Amino acid sequence: MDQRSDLELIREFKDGNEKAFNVLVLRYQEKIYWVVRRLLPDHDEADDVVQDIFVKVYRSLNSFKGDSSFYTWLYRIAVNLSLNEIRRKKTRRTFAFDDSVTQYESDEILPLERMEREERTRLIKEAIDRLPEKQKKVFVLRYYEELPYEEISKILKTSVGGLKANYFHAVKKIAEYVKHGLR
Amino acid sequence: MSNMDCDRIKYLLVGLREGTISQEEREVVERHVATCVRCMDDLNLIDEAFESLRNVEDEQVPTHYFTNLLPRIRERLEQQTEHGSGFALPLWVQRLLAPVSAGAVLACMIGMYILFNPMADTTQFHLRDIVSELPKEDVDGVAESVSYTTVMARTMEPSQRLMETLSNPALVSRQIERELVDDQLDHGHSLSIFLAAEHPFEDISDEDVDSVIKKLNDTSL
Repeated sequence: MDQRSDLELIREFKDGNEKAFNVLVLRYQEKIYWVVRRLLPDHDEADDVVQDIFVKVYRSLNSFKGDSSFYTWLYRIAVNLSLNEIRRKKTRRTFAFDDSVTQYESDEILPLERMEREERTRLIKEAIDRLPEKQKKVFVLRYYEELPYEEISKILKTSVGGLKANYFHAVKKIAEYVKHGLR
Repeated sequence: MSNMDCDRIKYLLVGLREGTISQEEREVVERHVATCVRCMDDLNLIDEAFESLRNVEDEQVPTHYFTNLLPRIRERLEQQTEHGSGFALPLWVQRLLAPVSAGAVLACMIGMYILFNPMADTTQFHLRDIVSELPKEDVDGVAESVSYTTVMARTMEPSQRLMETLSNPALVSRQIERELVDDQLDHGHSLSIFLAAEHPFEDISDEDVDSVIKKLNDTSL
């Protein structure tokens, strides 16, 4: 485990130490992947965007001023590039399910409980996918990343009050969507 | 029970379940919910949402994905450097490069026209105020910055229309204004063309965008 702080690594990178960038990638790749993956439900899309994020970080690191923490800056890039990808696609996507969830041996009889769980999982994913952009990004950062509102506020440059309202509506919409879908 | 109470309380309901509100707030919320059917319904929905979310199956990630990610990022960086002489674009950007480059070049042309046309009507071409403040290298940098935004896709059609009106710069200017002002709901996309030259686009806040929108709206045609 590398003990150097983000800022130390950035300083080293600016001084020409390429390996410092590798450490930053390894430190944040999983967190960033999961943020992107919650926003872009397909792994391949998420993978493409994650690579773009770190490429952009690499190219922008020299101009990183440190006004916010690296972590905040990185999350902001991740959220923005993910949303750009969603907007680019524009058309409302139908959710791409993981093979692990939808494919099973044809002769296998699924227990009712498992089927219900899979159905609920599908509905939850669809519900999140259908959230308005603002609510979606707040929901992902709050629920999955468990970030405090103050941190999300810095990442998204939105007031804490606005975040709480968006989070409330997101949670409520998810519940309503699942409830409706299970009827 | 007034609506105002509900409006104030409902945003504390999630905090109640997360345990992130103060003891005092907790007591107020619990007292209110006990007597308010609407907020009780909301609280039940929140409970159901969290219960469903807890039972969601984990997403699958290919084996060794994280082990191989860094080499793949490095590879992408090298590829882009080789092909882009130091100017790197994400793959999806490259796919859109042709139409958007045309848009970016057009925007630069318009900017240059506005800057250097001595006959320009100063009251009419208020976009000049934005563009003219940018150093040339920043104007060139717009192409790079804008590449990262969805304005690329969005400008394809407007760019074609602008092309048709290029012989009349006044019309071009007005057309741009219309595209921007009419686009207030998603204004961040289009306006980032101009803002990107001054800030990395990820740093553009809603306030920045709103201030430019206001500037545009306040300027009479």
